[in-house]
Amino acid sequence: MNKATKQSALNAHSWVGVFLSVLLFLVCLSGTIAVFHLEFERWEQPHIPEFETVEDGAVEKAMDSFLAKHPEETDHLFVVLPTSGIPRLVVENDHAAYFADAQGNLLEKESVPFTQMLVDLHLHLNLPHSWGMILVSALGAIICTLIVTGVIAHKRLSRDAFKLRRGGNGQQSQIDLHNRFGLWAAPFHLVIGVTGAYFGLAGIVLVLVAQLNYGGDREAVINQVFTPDPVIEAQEGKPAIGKAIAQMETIAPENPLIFVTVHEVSKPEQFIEIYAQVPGRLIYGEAYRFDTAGNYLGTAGYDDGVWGKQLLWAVYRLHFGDFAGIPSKVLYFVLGIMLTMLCVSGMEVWLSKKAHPVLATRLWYCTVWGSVSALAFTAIADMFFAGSLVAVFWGIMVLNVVLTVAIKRLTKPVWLIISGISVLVMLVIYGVVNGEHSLSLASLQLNVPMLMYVVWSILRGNTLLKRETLLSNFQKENQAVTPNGNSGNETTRDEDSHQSTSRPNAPQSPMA
Amino acid sequence: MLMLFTAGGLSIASMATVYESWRRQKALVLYIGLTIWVLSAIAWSYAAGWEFGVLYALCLPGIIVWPFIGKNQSTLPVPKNVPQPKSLNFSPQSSMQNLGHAFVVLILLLVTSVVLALALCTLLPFDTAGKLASSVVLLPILWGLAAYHYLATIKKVRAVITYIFVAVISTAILFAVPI
Repeated sequence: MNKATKQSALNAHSWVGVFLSVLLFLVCLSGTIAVFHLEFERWEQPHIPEFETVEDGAVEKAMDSFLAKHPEETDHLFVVLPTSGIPRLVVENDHAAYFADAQGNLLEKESVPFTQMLVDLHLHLNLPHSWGMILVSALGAIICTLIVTGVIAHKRLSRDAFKLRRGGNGQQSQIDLHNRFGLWAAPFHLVIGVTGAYFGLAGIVLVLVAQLNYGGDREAVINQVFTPDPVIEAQEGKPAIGKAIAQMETIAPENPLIFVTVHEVSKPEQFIEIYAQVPGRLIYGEAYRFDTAGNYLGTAGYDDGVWGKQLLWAVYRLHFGDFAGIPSKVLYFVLGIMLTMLCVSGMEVWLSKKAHPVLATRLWYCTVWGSVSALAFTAIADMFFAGSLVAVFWGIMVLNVVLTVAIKRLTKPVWLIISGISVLVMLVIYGVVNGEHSLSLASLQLNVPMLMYVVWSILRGNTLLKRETLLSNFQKENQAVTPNGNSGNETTRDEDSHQSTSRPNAPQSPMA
Repeated sequence: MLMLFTAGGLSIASMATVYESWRRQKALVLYIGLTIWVLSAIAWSYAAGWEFGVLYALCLPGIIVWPFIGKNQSTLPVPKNVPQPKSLNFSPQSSMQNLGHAFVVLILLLVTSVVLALALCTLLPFDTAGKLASSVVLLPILWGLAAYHYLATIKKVRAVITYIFVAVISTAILFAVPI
């Protein structure tokens, strides 16, 4: 490939990466954390009892108690089963959700505003839903652009495939990290880009196809992809959820049940649908349908339907890594961190090529590490405050920016330490608020990794802070040695050349 | 479980072989590494189903590679001097130009890629679900490639006219051939 092609690819890569850096970073960071959204739901209410199986009749008892408490009209009733990925029993309608214990006794209301805020940040950047989703989907396409341009722009793709050059002024190590993350995890990034684009763009495709070919009837297009409701005789009476669940032991004994839905509640078209995961398949699950009396009607055909239906039905698990329990989530989390670090290192490379413009550099680190801090304080607010967590998160982000502009000391190491201390404060408050429950599995599975982050960020921040102080002293000393105005820091370097062109009597760097 | 360990072992072995080929610059060793990688994909498919097999085989090298990169790291000398920061260009002209690029990349190319992806998939010999599914997969790739083309070309006006033309033709196809 000729030089001009590589250069134009690099220009495109830089423009996209820099112009959309903040949005890409926030979507990647929130997405990486949201891989554990089910675990965060458990973490928010750690005192709720957890179990793998429920007693006979517990589901119907829980639903009866729930309906007595919430008799308002609703189109759907749901039962989330303990084999869904959260070992808890939840009964809900379109308006409210309650936990129940293994015997079917109704407990307290489900309340997961922090997880909701986190997932909303990832899905639509907390913007109005439709526009936000389209913007985030556009970022999926932008990830595709970045992959293609990144590969084309790489000058020594195979020669540097395993290289990591540390030290120097840090620029080369950032370039190497960026290129190694980008090259080796490219298939994952492509999967995330394409599947991420689906969530917002599917709606646009749906509207367009409905307008062009179905006279504006969106339901008709949806029915081409997702199985329409079954045509059944007029139904009446209480849905026999327990009977339907009991039959699953013979219909699909190997498939873990996810949730039960009662559609068209109290209407003649009422029917029961049970979603169950299909082992060995990426599809979200198969839907097993029953009439109100609990008689089996058949499946929706997601497991053995046409390939297009199966492909679209696999997007969710493929994007969120929710298909093999904790191991697949850890795999996605690690690869997600790499994608997030790709955004961070890409910006760092760009900033270092500009020799780190002071305010822009501080603002970038405020965005990167300040967002972790903002998330931690939003989680703290969640423990005491019933208002909008979106307002809290973005309010803190704005405050971070204002503080960064006003206080020159808020550099990368300081922000890194602040992020660690913020998470530590959150963990301490979480421990105080939740008492003994903060030592439950639901809490510890997230608290331990967060504590590890605290240790790493404070240690790393301190190391960088010392290095920054030494560098600052060196620069002052250097300027003092060259009183004629030719400060010793005028030298510029090419990214691949580490030959200094400064005068031989310039003071030695303290980090050399 | 044995199959899972075998698949994992083959993934690590394939990366070790590819690393060795890179270190020795031997094409034959690279081909052996790639063969082992294909075998690892087959083993993963036996262990967890073909869908996961392909996914693991593609994604795991992104993690397995790091010990080899770590093994090969080097340290550069610290430069004696620090360059002066350059100023960033926030002039009204540059800002407007960037916003214009953003409009083309995020809005115009969205429209073009949506109708182009649908028009291409309409012509494919699939059922409706297959056409819609392939358009949803194709769309971000087309959009991404078009964004690359626009940002890389110096003839931006001509590129914009081309995108509009492509969008018009694609819309005509969509009217003529129902999905």
